[in-house]
Amino acid sequence: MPAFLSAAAVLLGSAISHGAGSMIWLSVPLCVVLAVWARDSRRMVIAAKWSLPFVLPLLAVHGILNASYPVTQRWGFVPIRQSGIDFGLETGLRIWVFAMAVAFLSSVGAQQLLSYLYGSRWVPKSLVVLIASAVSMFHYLSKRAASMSLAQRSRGLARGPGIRQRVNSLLAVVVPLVAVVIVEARTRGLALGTRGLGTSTLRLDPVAAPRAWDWLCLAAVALCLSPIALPPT
Amino acid sequence: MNTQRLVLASSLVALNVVLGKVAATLSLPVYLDSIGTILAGALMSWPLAVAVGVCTSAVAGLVIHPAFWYYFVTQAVIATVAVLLLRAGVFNRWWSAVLGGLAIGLCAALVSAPVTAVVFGGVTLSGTTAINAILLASGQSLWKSVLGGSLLIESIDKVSAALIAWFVLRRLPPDLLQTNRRATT
Repeated sequence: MPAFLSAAAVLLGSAISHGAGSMIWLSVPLCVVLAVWARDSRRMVIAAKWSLPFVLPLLAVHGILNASYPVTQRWGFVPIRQSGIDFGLETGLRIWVFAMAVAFLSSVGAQQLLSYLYGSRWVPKSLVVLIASAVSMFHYLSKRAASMSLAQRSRGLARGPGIRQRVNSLLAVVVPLVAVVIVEARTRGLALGTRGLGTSTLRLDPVAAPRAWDWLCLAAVALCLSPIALPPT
Repeated sequence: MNTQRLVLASSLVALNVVLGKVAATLSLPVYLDSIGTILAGALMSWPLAVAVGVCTSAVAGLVIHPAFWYYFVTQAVIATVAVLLLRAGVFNRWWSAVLGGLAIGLCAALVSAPVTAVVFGGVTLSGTTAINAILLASGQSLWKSVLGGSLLIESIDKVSAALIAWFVLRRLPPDLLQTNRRATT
């Protein structure tokens, strides 16, 4: 429950301040305070790891390269555009706040999250089963793709730096992988069908969702929509 | 929902995410995370193909990077266009599959460019950022740069995905495809 409440609080807080221009600066201390309150500073590191691949290119692209911002000073031959850096920082902070909210959400265990989603009246149950099944299939297919790639290389398929060799490597994995997907889906479907999950609706044991869950869903939707509803100034 | 359909849909979602990861591992300048969506259009009904697309964003957001969540509309549009093109028989020949890929790429770029510009300031996880940066440095506006970059990369990506989907549909044993079509319709 504390994980749900803190996730809901971070999502709601960042959703409120997310879209409104300089208000984004208020979300940062809010996120830090909530991280300290939840005694989980590790989430801040995860959020930083997710947002850094965006923040650094944002600063380089808008602070140095974007010709629509005026050059305010020069470091040798490198032009520095202050307003571009401001834009990059603001957008980077938005992404960090979003990553922080998602990092808090991921503090809820996958099993617990899926159980609550299944028990929620807002989310279609078949969608929850579809996502849960896809996540488990993802791990299985990743291993199959890796073993197929190794098998193709052991049969002499070169994997070099050239684009042609990379495309050949990809095709050598894709076609058998699709065949595996279709065959595996048929096998799994038949196996589930013979165990009582036939053509009727799937029946799993529902777990009652806590009240905080509805707030969490609402806050997540608000957060995802806020940058589109209120674009950066 | 029918269990057979549900399992096939979830498998195609996983295929999308795995292929996206494989393309990233091979350092290819494409995403390839829509091949499963196009195949879903060939094997299943339109609502399920859209569900495969949307769930691809959800699962990739869970297992790869949360940024994928913002692109769920793009996946839904890809599924819709792919279903329409498949019904028109576009994926029967390689050259028409290329044209189909271009059409899917155009629609995907138009839908994803506003998200990239507004939410991510023109920066994405792929090589699109490099093209956007070149266009921005040449004096183009953020919107024009992102749209230009997205059109180029999405066209290459979706033509590749369409060609691979055409290749896979041609190479897979017909009885395997027919069995799944019967089971899921």
